Order: sequence, then C-alpha cells, then structure tokens
Amino acid sequence: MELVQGLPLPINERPTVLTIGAFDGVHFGHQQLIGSVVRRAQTLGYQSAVLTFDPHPDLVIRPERGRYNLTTIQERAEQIAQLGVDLLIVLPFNHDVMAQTAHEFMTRLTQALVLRELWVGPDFALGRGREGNLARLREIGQELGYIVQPIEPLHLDGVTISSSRIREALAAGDIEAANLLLGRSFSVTGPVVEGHRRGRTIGFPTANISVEALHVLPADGVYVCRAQVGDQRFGAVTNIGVRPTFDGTQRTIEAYLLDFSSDIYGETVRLEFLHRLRGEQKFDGIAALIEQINKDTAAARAWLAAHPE
Amino acid sequence: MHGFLSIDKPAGITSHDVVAQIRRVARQKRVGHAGTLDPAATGVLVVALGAATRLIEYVQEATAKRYQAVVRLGETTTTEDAEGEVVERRPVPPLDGAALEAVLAQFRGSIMQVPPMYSALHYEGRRLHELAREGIVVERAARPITIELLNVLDYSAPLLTLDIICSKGTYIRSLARDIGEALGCGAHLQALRRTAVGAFVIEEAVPLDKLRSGEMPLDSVLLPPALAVADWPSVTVDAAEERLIRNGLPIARDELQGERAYAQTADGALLALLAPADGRWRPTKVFDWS
Repeated sequence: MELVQGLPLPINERPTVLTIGAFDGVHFGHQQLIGSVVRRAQTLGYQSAVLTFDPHPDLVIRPERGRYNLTTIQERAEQIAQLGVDLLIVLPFNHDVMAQTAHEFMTRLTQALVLRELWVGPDFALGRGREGNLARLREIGQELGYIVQPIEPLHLDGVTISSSRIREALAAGDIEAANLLLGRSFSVTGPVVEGHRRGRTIGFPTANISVEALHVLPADGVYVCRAQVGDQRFGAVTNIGVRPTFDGTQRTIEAYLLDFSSDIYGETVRLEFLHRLRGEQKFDGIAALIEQINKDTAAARAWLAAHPE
Repeated sequence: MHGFLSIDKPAGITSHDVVAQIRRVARQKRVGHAGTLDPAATGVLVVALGAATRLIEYVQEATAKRYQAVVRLGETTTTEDAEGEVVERRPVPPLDGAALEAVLAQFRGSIMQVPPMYSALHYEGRRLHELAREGIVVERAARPITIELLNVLDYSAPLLTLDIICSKGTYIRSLARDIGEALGCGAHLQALRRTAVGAFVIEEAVPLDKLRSGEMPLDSVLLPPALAVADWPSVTVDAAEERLIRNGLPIARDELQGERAYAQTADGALLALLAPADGRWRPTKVFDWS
C-alpha cells in the first residue's frame, strides 16, 4: 500500500475507486466497505484508495466534546493496509478543509486522482456544514465524472455497527461486544515506561504501557489480554485504573505478562483485550491484593487455554 | 426526444414490455433498454430514447449493477426462485450475526458458480431451461464470477435481505441457493430489486404506471444522455473544437488520460465520445440532439 500525506497534484493518473471517511476503529462495518472498494477496483482493473483524516474531524469541529479515538492514525493505516488497499491518503484536517464546500473539496480531489467511483458509508457527508450529502455528491459527480455508491449501516444481532457503539461497549467493560463489532480484538499500543515498580515488590512485575492521551481505554478493571512484544506473543493480565490500593490518582495500564520475566523498558507492546475478569477493587492490605492477583492469573490462564488463537 | 429514463419496473412484465409501452407513450420508434431485468424482478430499468440508444452499450458494460435480494431460507425450489416448485424444506438453524457473516465472507470476491438449470445457457446445442422443463438435470460447469458487495440489510428468519454488487454473468438465484447450502438449510431467491445501474439509482427511478397515465410527462423526467458515461473523464470544448469534432477530426487535450473520454459543449450537452489517437483525441461517436 502506498501512503500519501495531503493531496499533491496529481497523486497518480490511474482510474480510482475511492472511499472517504474518518474510519475510527476500522471496525467491522468499515472493513466491509473498504473490502468492497478493493474488490470493485480489482474487477474494473482500477486502483483502490481510501482517504482518511488526521486528526479526526470531530476534534477540529467540536473540540469541546472531548472525543477519544479507538485507533491512532498508525493503527488505522495498519488495519487499512491489511484490507488490500492500493493507496491511502491521509489528509490533515484543519479549518481550511472544514471551510471548503463539497464542490471545492471534490474538485480538488479529482485534480489529484482520476476518480471513477466514490463509495460512502451510512449518513456520510462532507464539506462546510456537511452540505455534501449523498444527493449533492451525486450531483457533483455528474459534473466531475464519478458515480457514488452508498453503503447501508451494518447490523450485528440487532445492533448497528458504529464507532460510538463500540466506545459505549468499552466504557461498560463489555470487551466481547466491542470485539464483535470491531471484527477483531480491541488493542492499545505503546512503549513500556517507568512505573512505581510496586508490582515488582509484591512479586508481580508489570509492564506499564504509555498510550496516546486521546486513545479510548476500556472501563477500569482487570482484563485477560494477549500481548505482542516484537514478534513474540504472551498471555497477560492487565489492570486499567488508578490503583486504589496504592492511593493512585492517574489512570495507568499495567500488564502482567505470563511466563515472561525480561526487562522490556522502552520496548513497544501491543495489548489485545479479550475478556474482562472484574472491576477495579480496593483491597485491605497487600496480602489480600496478592491473593486476588493469584486468582486473576489462574482465571486468565484458564480463559486463554479455553480460547486458543 | 433524446435521453434516458430510469424506470422502476413492476413485477410481472418483461423488460421488452416496458420498452413497448414507452414507445407508445413517447410516440417514437427509437427506444431501447440496457440490461434486461427478469419479469419477476423489480427496480431500475434504464430506457434510452432517440439518439441516446447509441449509448446503451456503455450502460450495459462496466457500470455497477446493484441489487437488493430477499432470500428465503429453508426452502429450495426447482428454479432457485419463487417461480418454481418447492423441492425440499429444511429447518433454519438459529443464526447470530457472527455466524451469518462467517458464511457470507466465503462468497465475497472471486468465486466459482454453477448456473441454474433454468437459464438461457446452452448445453449440447439446447437451452438449459428447455431441458429443465423436460425434467432433465445435467451437470453444469462452474463459471468464475465476482461478488464485490455482499452485505446484510436485514434478517428476520426465514428472510435474509442482501445488498449485492456482482459481475456480469452472476446468477443471484444461484447465489441464494449456495448461501442456503452453506447455512445448511437450503434457500431460494424470493424477490429481486435492482437498486442501481451505474449512475441511474432507484431513488430517482420513475414508476412505470405514472408515465403511462401521463401523471409524469416524459420530458419532465428525461435524464441527460451524458449520464451513460458519468464515470468517464470529460472535457468541455469551445466552438472551434466543436467544429473539428463535428467534422470527425481529432482535438489536442493533454489533460485527458486513459482509453476513453467524452466531450461536452459549454452548455453541458454531450457532443462526442473520444478515443486517444497519436497523442490526440479522435471522436468515435458524435451526437446531434436537435
């Protein structure tokens, strides 16, 4: 996959099937939409392309909402590449882009790309004040030479697949529901940073993982995870929360990697969340905490054994 | 009258019947349609009037045809659609979203499809449906097809509604049959509605009876001929270039890329289809809409 920042003129001269969206999470619905674009392009002998924005447009349009992302731009690019897309355009979203009319935006786009088909997700609109809805994009397409294929929202067991629904599931600690809608395991990635080293003192050395500030985290609690460190994979028990037993105040992500003991400070770890064991609790003393961690570890091992990769 | 009509064909009449009725309403002979719809199917049928009939071939070929298919699970039929007799009834297993998706995923992309016995394909010089009516079933060779889009719009057992874009030559009946087999219960196609032919979309399609009754005058819903080539690159030409094109002479246009393009006049009317020739663009079809 070729990755292009912005809209240089022209990117290339190949006829293109394109989809545009924020694609936060690259969830199951996004995967179906992008997958269809890839298949359609293959049939026509065209290139498949995805245009996405960074930062997420909501951060620029409604900064007061305090939005959190399901995926970083790196994670989005990685997931989109896996779907077989030929070209990914990452357009910086700023007030200039926000102020453009749909016609200005599409004109600029068709100067950069030979656009033949534009595929859009449910309720898609672009341009100033979202004036570029389906009907308007079709009208502009008559002039600029592309057709528009809208995709209906996908449902799974009566639930509409959307980034906000996934956020709700994560906020409720319902990892299984979130993962079903995502079409893969929810994950966070970041370097291992210095923690309080308290885990070490009680016999459970944990990797303290630093995640981008705007990344969504599941509800506070203890989770069964699989961890990816370099090309190795481990089971893990992960605590998300403020560590009430130690009077903590800041949210941290601490993973106890099963059957692993090396020092990995500075290394990048990806944690895939699979199952929630319990909420965060405050314990009366270290002994009670250690007893519970032993129980959690046994429960995590049993869960992982019952759900092999 | 020149241009296209995007008609929402009712069930029960052939595509040719639609053309015949439009001929009467328009009081003109030059009427044709692009992409036949089965009599039982409803939805977008593109009808060309006058000189727009010269553009039908481009509507037929590469443009995406999109369908909404209602699949009846748990019943197989002789014809693979609702016209035939029920061959077998099987219970429909409980299906959650994940199970349904796992099965549909097998059908997306390039797959092989065995065409239905009730089809116009030939077998040793005879049509398959002729044999089928005599009760003969023969082995049919599987053919490569591509399913580009296959999404669930609705599932309320036993009816599964699908949003489909597929390659030319795909039998949606047979896709329904095969999905049914993969789910273990069998299935047939209960209803089929075409929702788009390229830039012609169901939202803008006109019900046939409103045209016949005169409630909607033809000229009020006539679509511009250029819609047939909506996904081709285009250039707007000036009066001098228009004269060249009308005389069959090429024009120089460095900004155009690819194998084909069209030229329009300043008022947006389709003037000609163009093909590259020796670094210039030669008209292959020139239109006169007067």
